[in-house]
Amino acid sequence: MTRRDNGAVLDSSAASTEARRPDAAAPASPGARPPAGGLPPDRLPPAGPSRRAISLIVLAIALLAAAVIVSMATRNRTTVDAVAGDDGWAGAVLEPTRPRPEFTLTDTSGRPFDFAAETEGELTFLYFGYTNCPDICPIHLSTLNQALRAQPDLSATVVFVTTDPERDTPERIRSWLDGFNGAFIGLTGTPEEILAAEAASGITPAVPDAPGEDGFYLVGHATEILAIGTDDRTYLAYPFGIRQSDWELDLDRIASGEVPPVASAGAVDVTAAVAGQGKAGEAASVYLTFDNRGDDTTIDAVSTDAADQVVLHGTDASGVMTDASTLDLPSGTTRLEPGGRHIMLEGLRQALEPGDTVTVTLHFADGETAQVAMDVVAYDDVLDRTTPQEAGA
Amino acid sequence: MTWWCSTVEWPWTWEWRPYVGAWLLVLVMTVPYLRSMRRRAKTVGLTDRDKRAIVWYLLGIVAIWVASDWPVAALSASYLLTMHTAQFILYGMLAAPLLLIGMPEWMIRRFLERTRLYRAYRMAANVFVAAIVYNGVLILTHVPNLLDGLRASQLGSFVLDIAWLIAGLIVWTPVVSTISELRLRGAIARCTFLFLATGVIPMIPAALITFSPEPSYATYELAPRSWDFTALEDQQLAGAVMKVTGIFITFPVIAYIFIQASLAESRHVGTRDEGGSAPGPAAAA
Ligand SMILES: [Cu+2]
Repeated sequence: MTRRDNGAVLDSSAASTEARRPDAAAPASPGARPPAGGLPPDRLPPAGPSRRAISLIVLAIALLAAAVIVSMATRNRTTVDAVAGDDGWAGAVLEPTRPRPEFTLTDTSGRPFDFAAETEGELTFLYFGYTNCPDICPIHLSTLNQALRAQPDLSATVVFVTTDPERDTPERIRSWLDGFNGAFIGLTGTPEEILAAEAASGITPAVPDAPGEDGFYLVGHATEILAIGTDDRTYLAYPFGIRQSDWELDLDRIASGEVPPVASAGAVDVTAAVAGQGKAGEAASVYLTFDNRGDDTTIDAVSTDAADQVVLHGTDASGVMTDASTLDLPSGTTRLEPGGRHIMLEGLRQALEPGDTVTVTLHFADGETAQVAMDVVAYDDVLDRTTPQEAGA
Repeated sequence: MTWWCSTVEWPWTWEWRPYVGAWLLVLVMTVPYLRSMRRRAKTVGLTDRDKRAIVWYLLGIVAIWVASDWPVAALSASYLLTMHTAQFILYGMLAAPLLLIGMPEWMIRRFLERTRLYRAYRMAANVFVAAIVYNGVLILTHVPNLLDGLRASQLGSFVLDIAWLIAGLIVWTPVVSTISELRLRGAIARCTFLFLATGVIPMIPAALITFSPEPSYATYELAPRSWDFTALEDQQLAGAVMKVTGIFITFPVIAYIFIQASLAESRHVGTRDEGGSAPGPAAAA
């Protein structure tokens, strides 16, 4: 619940100030020597900040610091522990990443809106809320809007799905969204359709509260805004409490071509993952890209439910494919590519067709594991998906 | 029971809420003062100057009450940085000088003697110390994490408000204190000090707030919004208000001091500096 990075820095400096100061201030505490007589002397000694004066200031600062520490522990404005891991993304990196959700609802002009098809390949922010929301929805959307305005190089689609179709007519959604940004897309549907959209997006379904005497009711709903990348992965979730400055950090990284990892374990991020297609009973290859920010490490084993066994394939100096017992991951970037090292899923339990997803678990030497979900693509497309995307700008 | 205003989660409503601590503060600052005045009236008698002081003091108390009670304090603690800035001005730039003018010399000397605070107060009233304390408190209390942290709890919020009041009392002492040896001698010295300490240095945090590209304080950025402007616009307005204080409070006071000084000079050339413990009617003759 505490604020991130600099909060901690301030905390510690405040704590050390407090620890040091009282002793220094004690001998000079006010009132140690009361003024002689009722009326103090008319003339002052030459002015200038004396030692006492400095200890006074120090005492005041120490008191303030103490108060801060007390209040830090009891703060009640919900803010999010923005930096979850050492990856530095302000949003929560979703692991394993999910594909772009598929659902069809109705937009504010009354036309059907096939979310996956209409937003394919676009950076998309998806939010489920309601226009009568007194606090979270308007603040959250407004914060996102401000952050996006601060990053005009980035083109992004914002889609709002109502969780209160009863009151949120298309007109009402439209005028409410226009209050933020006329380009925001608003969707509604039957309660069943909305429920299906929430399920497809991996969002906890919204539940309306009992109406009060005046008929007004709140709707309990998930506060995450999902970020779906140009690679059609749902990779980040922004719960309420994310601040504009946090969001801008992430948008800057996305604008510079960076993507949140597909999976991570310790200091190793899997930054790209793709599987080739394969028939049932046959084999398929898995190509991963690793970014190791730590020391050299190895992957000792890979497991999956999709195949009978997993083999690590290396290539020797002459280019002949060899079985390797482990996969070395030196510090830095390691790329598994067609013609190079890769992971083979052997004895596929069912066919892997383009458009499917497959999940493998990586077992690292230090005991860490990472679950990697990836798209299955046609062999011709594998190279496209393993080559890092160039920065957009 | 709510003692002091701190950050709350619910959207702003115009529904009145009691803040018991604000009333207690007002009582604690008013009752002993009025009793002391009554005792003085029964023994020595009150001079016209004392009677005027009561008015100034009570105006100062009104400023404190407005600043610490609903709705100013409630808006300040949870919703609007602009209101937070207004509250700072009420405490430090309005209540503080009014209270100082409102405490006659005999009273404040007696108070300082009894509480043995004279030396500490004299040290704090040194122009360098006063300027550092006032601006230190101003800057510290606008460090985002500190402000968010303090505002979150009733105790922290109380400490913040009292720090502003004390800092205000300290910085105004060299300018308007009724204790002659704590006051700067000469109108030019007083005006220069006031201008530098409260008019110039605070421009720095005010500018930082105004020109920040994004909202600096979680308290106000994530507050439920009941009006038609963004957290950033609120913050820019707050910065402007902080700067404008100089124009609306500091500069009129400076002008007043100058006019008074030149009037006094033309009236009594060669009269010794007033401000003794009991000038009495004779001094005005
Ligand atoms: Cu909401």
